[in-house]
Amino acid sequence: MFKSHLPLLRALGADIPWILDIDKTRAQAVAKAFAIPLALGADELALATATGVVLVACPYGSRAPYYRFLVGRPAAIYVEKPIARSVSELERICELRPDYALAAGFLHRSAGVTTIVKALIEDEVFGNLRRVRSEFGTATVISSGGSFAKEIALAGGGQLFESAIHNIDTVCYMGGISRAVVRECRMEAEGQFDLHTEARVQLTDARGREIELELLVTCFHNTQYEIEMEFDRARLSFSLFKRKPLTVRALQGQRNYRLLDAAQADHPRDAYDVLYVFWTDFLSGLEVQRPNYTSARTTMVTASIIEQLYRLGVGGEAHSPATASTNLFLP
Amino acid sequence: MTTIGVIGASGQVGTEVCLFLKTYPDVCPVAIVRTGISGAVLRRLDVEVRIGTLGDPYQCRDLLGDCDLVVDFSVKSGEVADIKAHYRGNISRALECTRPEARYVFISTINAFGMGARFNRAKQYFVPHSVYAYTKRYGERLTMRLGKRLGKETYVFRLGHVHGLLQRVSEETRQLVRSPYRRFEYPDTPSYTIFCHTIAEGLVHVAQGGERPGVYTLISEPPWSWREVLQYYAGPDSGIEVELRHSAARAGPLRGAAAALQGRAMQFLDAYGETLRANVLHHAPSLERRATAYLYIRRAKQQIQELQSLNVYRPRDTHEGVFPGPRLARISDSRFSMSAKTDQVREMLSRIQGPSRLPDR
Repeated sequence: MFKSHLPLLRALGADIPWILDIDKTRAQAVAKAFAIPLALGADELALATATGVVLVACPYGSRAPYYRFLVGRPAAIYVEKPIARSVSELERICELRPDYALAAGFLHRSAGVTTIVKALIEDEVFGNLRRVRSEFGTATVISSGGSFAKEIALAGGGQLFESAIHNIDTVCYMGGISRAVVRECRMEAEGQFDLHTEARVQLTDARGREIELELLVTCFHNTQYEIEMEFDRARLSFSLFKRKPLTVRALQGQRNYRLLDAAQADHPRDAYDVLYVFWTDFLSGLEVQRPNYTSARTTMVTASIIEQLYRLGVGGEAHSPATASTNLFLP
Repeated sequence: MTTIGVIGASGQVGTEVCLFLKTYPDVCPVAIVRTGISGAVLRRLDVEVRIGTLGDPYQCRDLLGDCDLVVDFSVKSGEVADIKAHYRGNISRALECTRPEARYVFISTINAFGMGARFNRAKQYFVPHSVYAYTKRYGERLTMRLGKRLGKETYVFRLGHVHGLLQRVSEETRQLVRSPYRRFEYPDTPSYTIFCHTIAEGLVHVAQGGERPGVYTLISEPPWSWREVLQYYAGPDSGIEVELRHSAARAGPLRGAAAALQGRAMQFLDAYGETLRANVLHHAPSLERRATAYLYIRRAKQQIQELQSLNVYRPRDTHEGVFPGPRLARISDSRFSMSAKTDQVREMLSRIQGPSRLPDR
């Protein structure tokens, strides 16, 4: 939050009346740096004043009390990803607010490359989308850099849930996917903490067309962080995590071509401009009370894939923190 | 049996160094990690893993008490004060909680020489030009000072760019030589690459008392040229062409000044060419034609050069020059020495990666 949301919100001129962190000293330091008048500790939730929007950016497994707190209050909510490990959990979170007033922070949906690929799929420029291959991971890197990320109770999972979920969500968003069935899943995990996941997912778009998603998330070797899409007549490749241009080649061809939007090139593509677009689109939807792509409810398919992957991969239902959070905040 | 405790073993370099240490029959690497999950990959590779932090002296003794050598690969991100506190805690505990004869190696990097975005040459800078350099220098000084005070043999390894089977930079180089580029232009100064094999070799020598305490620059010795590095990943018959170009900085001050002057003159002509034509040159038609011809030729050359350079890869931000500092006395020439042990490590990695995903080099 120190590096992303707060600088962006300040740059937008947002009024931030308070900040809350489990570590009050940290909250005070951040409040001082960003000129936020009130810094609260974990047990001071009741002192939080009314705001238009509440940003919930704490780790996934620690959100239950905050959801409970927000039940009776009118503020719109922006929840940082990952938001839910199962469809039922996401549905319960979505019940907190109307769809336009509850955002899930899958901000890669705002990226320029996402907009271009989504349009190419919708316009069927290369024919129908047939197959997608998505890979994510670096050798030995088992979690994101966050200090919480190695605690399963807080993180809720490994790289699949914490970071690679962006690839899954963005693919589903670009493809207009309405249904997903995990056909095969081979997951190596320590408890609920995934280390290596290879899966085949059958995606179905709104028009009933089927697309096969091949998924790799691993800490056992280095990947290219690439998403490759195969259409009837061409193959696209790009990355959400590396500065790699969107390239296209004919199915049997050898030459690569770069694709850019005629007006916007591949912007937004950096941390703040992507976040800026996501935030402003969320706030615009909020203003006219109309849900858009920022709405948490539009991430149901993503939650469904995550739920199926963990169920097939490590067995059983979603692990206890997720279950706890869904039970606890509901009145 | 020599026991080497590896703090921060779960990172890319730490993990691969543990595997190379395992190839020595009389060496037992012990990975020290903070959480159980951090040791997940190492355990799958049959490396002994101990879980705990160095914060508690009793726990620290349990973790490191039987080690002949402790090496600290740990890194901490965040604010400078947090990073310094991390180094202070780790280094002092590791030195206090190990046996009197145990040695300690602090892993630093060549960034400690102080380079920054605008200070790119390979040399020792008086002022560090990055926070990373500043904090690494802090850790280095602390290591040597505390070692002296506690009567322990301490070492600092300033690692160059670390290559190896698990290393991201190796993967990037592998991808680079497979890319459409067939021509590469690198500086003709030595590369600053080091392989995990050599880091492990250096640690074994230190553990066995074969190196004198001090601050060392760890770059392959003799250093690999950039051509050798690229050809190593490209393999034979790759058809790539690597040109090692002279540094502009070494062309001499006169040539540099002349080039700068010419550049300024051309900038002036570009900006005021039309003004000169309108007000001066048309009084001398022959001179006008010659000047125009000169500019057209220059523009043609420029466009041809731009077109040709599209096929040439020129790395940005490569440090030109030779990094100073002493080298370890006993490390071997990795060109010839690392292949057998690399095969052993590849075999270990095949347990988790599957044979199809193992890099050849």
